Amino acid sequence: MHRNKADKNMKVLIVSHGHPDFSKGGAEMAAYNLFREYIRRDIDAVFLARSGDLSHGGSVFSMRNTDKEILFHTSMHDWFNFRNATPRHIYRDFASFLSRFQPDVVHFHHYAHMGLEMIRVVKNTLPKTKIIFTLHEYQAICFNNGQMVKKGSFKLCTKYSPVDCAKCFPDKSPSDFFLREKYLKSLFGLVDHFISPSHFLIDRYVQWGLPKEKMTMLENGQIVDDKRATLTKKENDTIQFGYFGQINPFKGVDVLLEAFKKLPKEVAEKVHLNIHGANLEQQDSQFIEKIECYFDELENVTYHGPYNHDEQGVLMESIDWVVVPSIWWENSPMVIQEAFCYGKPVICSNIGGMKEKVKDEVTGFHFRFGNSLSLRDVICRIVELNNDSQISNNIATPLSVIEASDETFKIYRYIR
Amino acid sequence: MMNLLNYRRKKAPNIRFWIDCAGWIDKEMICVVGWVYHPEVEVGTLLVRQDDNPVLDNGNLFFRGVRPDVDQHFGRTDSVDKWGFIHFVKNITGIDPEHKVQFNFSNGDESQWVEVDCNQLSSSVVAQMAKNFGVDELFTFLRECKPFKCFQDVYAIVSSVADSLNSVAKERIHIDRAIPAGDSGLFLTGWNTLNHGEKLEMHVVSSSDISVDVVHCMNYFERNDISEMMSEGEGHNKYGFFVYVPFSCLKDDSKFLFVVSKLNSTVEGFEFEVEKPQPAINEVSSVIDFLDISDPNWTKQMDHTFGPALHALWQGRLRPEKVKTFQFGVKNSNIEKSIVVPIYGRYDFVMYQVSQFVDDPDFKTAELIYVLDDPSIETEFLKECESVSNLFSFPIKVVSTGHNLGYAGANNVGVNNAKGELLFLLNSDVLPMKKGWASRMERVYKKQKKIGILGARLLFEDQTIQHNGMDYFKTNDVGNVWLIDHPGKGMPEWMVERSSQDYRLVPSVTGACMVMKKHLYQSLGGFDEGYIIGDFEDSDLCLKAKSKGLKIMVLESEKLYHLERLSQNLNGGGKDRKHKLTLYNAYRHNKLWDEVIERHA
Repeated sequence: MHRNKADKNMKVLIVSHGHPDFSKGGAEMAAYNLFREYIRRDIDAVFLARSGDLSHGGSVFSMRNTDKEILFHTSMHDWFNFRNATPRHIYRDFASFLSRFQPDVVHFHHYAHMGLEMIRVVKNTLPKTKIIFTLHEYQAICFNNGQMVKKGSFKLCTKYSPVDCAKCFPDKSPSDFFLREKYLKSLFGLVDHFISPSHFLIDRYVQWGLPKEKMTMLENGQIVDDKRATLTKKENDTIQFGYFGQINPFKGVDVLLEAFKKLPKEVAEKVHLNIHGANLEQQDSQFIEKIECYFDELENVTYHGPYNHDEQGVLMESIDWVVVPSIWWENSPMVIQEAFCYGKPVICSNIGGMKEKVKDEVTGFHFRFGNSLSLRDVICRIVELNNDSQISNNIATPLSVIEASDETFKIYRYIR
Repeated sequence: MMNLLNYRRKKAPNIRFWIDCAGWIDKEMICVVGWVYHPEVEVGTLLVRQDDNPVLDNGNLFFRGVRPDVDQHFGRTDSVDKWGFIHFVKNITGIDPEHKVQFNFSNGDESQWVEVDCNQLSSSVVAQMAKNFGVDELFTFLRECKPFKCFQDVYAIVSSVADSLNSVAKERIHIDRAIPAGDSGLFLTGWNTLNHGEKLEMHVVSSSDISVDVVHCMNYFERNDISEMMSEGEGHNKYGFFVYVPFSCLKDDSKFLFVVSKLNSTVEGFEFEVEKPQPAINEVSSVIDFLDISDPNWTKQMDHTFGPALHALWQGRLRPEKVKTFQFGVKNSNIEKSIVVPIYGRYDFVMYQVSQFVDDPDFKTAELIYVLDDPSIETEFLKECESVSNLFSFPIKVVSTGHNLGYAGANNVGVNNAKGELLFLLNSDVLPMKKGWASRMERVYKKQKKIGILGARLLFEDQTIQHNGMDYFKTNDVGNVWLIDHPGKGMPEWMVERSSQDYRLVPSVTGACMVMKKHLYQSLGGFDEGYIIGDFEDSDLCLKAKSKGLKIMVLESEKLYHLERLSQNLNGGGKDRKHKLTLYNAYRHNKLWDEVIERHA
């Protein structure tokens, strides 16, 4: 552990777009794990998390768990330019917050729901404070929820272009996208250093125009106690496949189900798919119908519904293979890191952050994204090998949050 | 009328004049109507004689108006001079009603007086003559004549001189609601399809009052239901209107006219009904709903419409003739401190508060006064106070206002019933952290020189700052009026620095917890009851104290919880209505204190 005495005198503000007590997305978890680790190290750190709930007496801030975890009750109204709905919350309240705490480092993990103007206010209020930004997604590059997937057709998109973006959003013109780009870059330009959990995401932002020398790839740290499974498998046990995460069209659950549908009978009898997924009910009715049809039809598939993050260990333990079939790029999917924590190999789409994080034939298998036949072949191969691959032995323990915070502090110390 | 008169024409070196008629009104005074032509000199005063003896005339009213016929006679065009006059001779002692009366002007020809027979004249006839001066002059005339008894029934006079009643105007204008604002005005809403560009005057008339012209105070908004009915559009659909008419509405006024006069043309009117007074809060809601803060003119509307209307409504609300007081438990014999807590709606706080006060030795010399400002819960509330007092063996005094007075009014009533020399104004959702809080605050208060009001550090239930003194800020999106800020609100305590002395000077403190001398509170006039429901009166009181050179301080070492539950709602109108009301209160506060805050900022 690379501790430095000076670290203890460093005041760090971590800004997250949500508190894991309410929402356990990858970015929120990464930000919070880092914060907890800083507190464990006696670093003067504050976690500022956005909340959409009303606060006591209409106040903009409130406290959660400890007096170092503060909720920021605010909202964003302009998702095109990421602008806060009540600018006063940023230029008065957030500025006052900064003046009172006087952090040496403000480490953003997101700006959604709060506003990208926060970066400018940090610079104006505390010019000497270092601004670190962990990028978790592509929202600045792509207005289509940062998916970098063409609207409607779901075709993968490889680069930002005002003309192409306007094709996805006919109510906007290329010049609108150009203005947006200029504006967002003016704020990103104030950031001293960017951290990204994948090289793929770095490449995308560099292609968009951020300077490569300001980028560092650093995985989100995981809380890695000894999570390796202790269950021993019997030879003839059914091979258990697991899906964890949201159920929406981008996640490719339909591709996975179609692959199961196409399995030859003798293979189908030897495998079982467990879907642990949330928010199916929030999708459009056509999609829901499609997914439910598979559930009705396929005997070797069980839909378990949403799960509590605390249960993940138990759920992972009974799984042999984790499947990540997303049809969009992803960044560094949390589920891959978690699977690796439990020593589980991963089958994933051969694109973007998934391709980067899972080494084909080493820590899992790739299949052609969106292609159920390709995925079916991978499953058949696993059955053929009788689940007896060496792959799980190749899986190294992911970067721990302790290691991640050591690395992050190096960045805090040495930039500029 | 003409046959009643003696016409005489008088030639004088400087002026010429003509008496159209003169006559007695109600045997009280003589009204003289005519013209006086004086193009090069100032007109003199009208002289009155009978049988060559001067009559003492104190010249109550000399009303002037245009006379196009006179201009024509003297060959003048485009004249705006007012040659016409109506004069009232009030002091008539010693005049024989059977004899002729003589008139002259002080700068007229001394040798030639005009002699006129004086018969009876009615106020309507005189009003008609005033109308002949020009329709726009009629209302000025009637307003100025109001002191005269015979001109007091304006409703009857206007009805008699109107060219039409309940016809043309009524088809083009409609009053949906006429809300009385206490007895000082009417808030009218409805629609108007008369050409907005036309030169019009609009007045409201009752048997006791006549309003000023309200045309320029009318506020228009879109009424699609009306524009759909219009056969020929005017290129807009702003047919809806609302207007505040300052007007004295006596309780026995039952007839009201809305009068539209087209300049130099006709006077039309129609009757409308004024609503029966409702609880002020309902009427406030009806009025504030018309405030549209997306309209760039809303601050101007605040000046001429909402400000005066809401002020009149709120000031005119019912007030208790006598409050009821109840004592539960045996009151302390030696009361030094009075803790005054207003109650509205939720009253379970009584038990929570008493449970925190009961073992506090400070309360041996204190009285706890709950001011019930919500008559709808009186029965349950008294029962609860009795139970709590008996269970905890703790004295509670209840003052019930019998009305909803609002935060300021409730506190004022409470203070009037307080026995202690030192006041502690507390909200019902304030709970102390430690016993002895009152005496600790008392000690600091008494030690400070020139202190006005002392507040405390207040925390939310999650230990974040609710209040550590208040400050002011302005923002353009809220009309650039001073708003109140709670610096550090919602932040953990470590982020809000504490003074090394434990107390600090602040611009103002919240009414949720205030300590001050009772006589100071009363000498400052208490909380200003003009703020609707509850807002800004704490700041207002602090600024009053400050204006007298007194200090406002917050004791940062004394911490109490303030849960700041959402206060009284406005008839379910929700956030929007509450926000608008805050704007009104802020506007009012700003009118009163803008300069003082600026000076201290």
